Amino acid sequence: MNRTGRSLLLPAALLVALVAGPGLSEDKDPPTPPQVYRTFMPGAGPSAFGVVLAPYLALCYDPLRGGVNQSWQGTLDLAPTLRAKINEPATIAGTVFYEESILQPLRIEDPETVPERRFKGYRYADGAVIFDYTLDGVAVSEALRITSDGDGVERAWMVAEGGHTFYFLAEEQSDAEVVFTGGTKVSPGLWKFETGTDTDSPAPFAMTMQAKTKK
Amino acid sequence: MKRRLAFFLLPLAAAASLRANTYEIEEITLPTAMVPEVSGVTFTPDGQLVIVNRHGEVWLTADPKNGPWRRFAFGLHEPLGVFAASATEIFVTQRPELTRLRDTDGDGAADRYETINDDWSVTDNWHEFTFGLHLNKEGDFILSTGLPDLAGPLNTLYPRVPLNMEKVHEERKPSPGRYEGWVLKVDRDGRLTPIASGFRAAAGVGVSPDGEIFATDQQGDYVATSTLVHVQPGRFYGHPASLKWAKDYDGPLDLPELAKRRTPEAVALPHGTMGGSPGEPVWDTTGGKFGPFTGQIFVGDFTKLISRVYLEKVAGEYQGACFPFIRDAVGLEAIQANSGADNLTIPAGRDGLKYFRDVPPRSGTPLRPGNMRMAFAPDGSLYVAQTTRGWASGDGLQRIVWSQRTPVEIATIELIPDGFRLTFTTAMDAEKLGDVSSYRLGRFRYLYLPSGSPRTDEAEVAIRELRVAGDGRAVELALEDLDPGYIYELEVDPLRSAAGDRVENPLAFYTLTRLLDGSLFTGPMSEPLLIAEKKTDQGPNPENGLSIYRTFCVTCHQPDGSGGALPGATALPGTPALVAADFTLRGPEAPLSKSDEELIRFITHGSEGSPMPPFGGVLKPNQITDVLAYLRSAFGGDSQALSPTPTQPE
Repeated sequence: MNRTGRSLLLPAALLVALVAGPGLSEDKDPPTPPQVYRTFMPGAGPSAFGVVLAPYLALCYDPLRGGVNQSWQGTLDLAPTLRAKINEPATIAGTVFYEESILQPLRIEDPETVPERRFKGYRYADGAVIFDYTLDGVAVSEALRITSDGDGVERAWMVAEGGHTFYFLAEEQSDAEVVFTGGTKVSPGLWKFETGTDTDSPAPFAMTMQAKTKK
Repeated sequence: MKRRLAFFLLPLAAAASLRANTYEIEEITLPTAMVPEVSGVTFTPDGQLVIVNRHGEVWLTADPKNGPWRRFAFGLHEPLGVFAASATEIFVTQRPELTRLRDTDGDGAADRYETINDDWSVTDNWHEFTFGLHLNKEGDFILSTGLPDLAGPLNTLYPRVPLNMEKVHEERKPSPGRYEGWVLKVDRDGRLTPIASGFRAAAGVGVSPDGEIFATDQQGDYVATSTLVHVQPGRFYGHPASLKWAKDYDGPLDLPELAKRRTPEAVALPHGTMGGSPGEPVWDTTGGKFGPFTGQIFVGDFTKLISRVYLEKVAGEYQGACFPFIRDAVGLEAIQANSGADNLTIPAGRDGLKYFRDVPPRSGTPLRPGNMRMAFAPDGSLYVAQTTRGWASGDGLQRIVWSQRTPVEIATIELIPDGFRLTFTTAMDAEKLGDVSSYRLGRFRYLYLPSGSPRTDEAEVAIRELRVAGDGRAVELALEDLDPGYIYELEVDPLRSAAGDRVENPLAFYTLTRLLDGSLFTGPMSEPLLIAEKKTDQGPNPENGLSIYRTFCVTCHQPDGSGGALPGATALPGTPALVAADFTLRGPEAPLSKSDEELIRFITHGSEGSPMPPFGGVLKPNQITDVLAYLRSAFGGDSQALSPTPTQPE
């Protein structure tokens, strides 16, 4: 008999049940809006976000590295973060189809320069979670929502202040179909968009990420 | 007939005793959808109750007794503090930031989670809590940050600012992230100002009605006992790790220099007797709705204790007395269950249980442990938020209600030129008040050491004269020895009120940092003054060692000595498992194959990178050798026995 297992069995089981609340259980309807949990995420900077877009689709948003670390078909298990005084990271419960690792893949004015990024919070609106931050002092909003067909992640950047050029350093994805809109491809893996200089509502720079293998 | 009368009277007497408590504890029923790890409690200006839990939720209700409750926010990272500007605008401390939650669409739930400030750094370490949250006079937010603990890993990925692992002295709890171990201020424009350093884990911050900032800190390395400190700008309160983030840091520093820079606490909360892990200080601003302690401070504790603190200003600085207020029986079993935690160690062995006095008998609902957050409701009752994760069991929300009967208590202890003046909440039996045998008075002090410190220089103090006030509500104790730098411990069990009632909590401690003329302790801060009696004629005592083992060691090392994985602490990927040593192993690598000197060093100082905490601050040297004698005799097989003369730890 595992001595410690005996005392842990009941609390751990209980916590898993409690953590798997609305939006985290596969037999529930898709949550609207997304559910955002700030917690210990594996491979992310301290205090990152687990975002549950649907019971079958989730992602890790890292406000320190600066973007979507992974997106996966599956859900998020928060139980490891909650069951003991020495916490463990949440578990990515599913198959990862999209990954990023470049530090601050969104750059401002110069694609070679890592900008200073300050996180400003997030909000729920129009079925999306919108993360707000500044890059070198310029306010940027990044919206994440489920695609209209429900199969992938839609990610759009909005910048109210005109006159800036942004670059996104895209990483090759072997398991995801990635489609960019609203920007210009400068070179393989480098996209550019400029903030509205002559229009009140410029088309946002956006991308969709969908698993090549549907589940 | 008499028998029949007795038959009826006894239940009546029992029923009367049920109402006999001067303070009653009531249970607040929480919503079933909420995990009751309640880690913050406050009220909106219009009186709605707001609580947060460690699962990251914020809940509100206008009617705590009947509900309904409404979930206002979720997904926060272990919020341990909450301030409600209104029912639609609530501020919380999360681990990495101060956050404003706003309901802008009027649906009753926050839709905006706005970062007000995140200028301090965290590393995802388990012990890296961010505490709060209160406003100072200017409306700035006051919060505090704890130091990480290397029993768990640090996440060094993408730090908010570069980590700094440099040591200021010999600290085992580092401050790798900026401003870890500080009390901080964030103004309404979101600008952070570090106020004061030297905190180990200031789990409770509070602001007095006059706008002055106080914080509690937790017993452990460099913090010999838990404290309530008056937080003043630029000051350093003892744990060195955080000092390197000060603008004028010029370290590393040696212990005498640290001692010179250290500001002592306003009130020491002697470890064990006055708890083991204090939470948030709250001021009785109820104007008498909560009884006779208006203006005094209540401090919840992780153990089943709420303390009361009376402060006075002496030579320009705060000091004063602490008293138990409500304490529920802890019991040896609970002490043993808690003993695996480095900041809940309880003095053990023959001395140990004296720190747990018999509690005054209470009826009704008992107080739970985990009393880390409290707030007074508009009706004058005290709401107590409880969370115990990993250290004990029993979470939830209780409230304490004054029954309108005046408790017989020492209301205040004030310093006078030759001793102390005790003022009671009611008129006392003057004869007993004037009888020197009604008092037991002693004093002790703690040393300033990296390992922490047990009570040191402990001695009885003689009462030279008693001066009883004419109304029987006060008495002055003139002492033979009144010296700064000591904690004076007072027991008044024999005293009775004029009506014959016992003092409900006949125990008090006065932290005498300064005399009225401002004079301070001038002796060594890190060495005892009294030389302990050497026991050369008596070897280690395995029987006493067994008692200590059962109190401190059994949770991790098991009754049969076989150790194993720590409860609830499975290994993280890429990190070693947190495993307690197996004393039943044999061979050259077995724990008990090490020399006595090595093992004593290990017990005294712990081991960096392992979950073994240092016990040198809790156990006396002879107690450590007693434990070792027990380990050798019970699990050591043919390993070498200890020499009859105890080896002194470093």
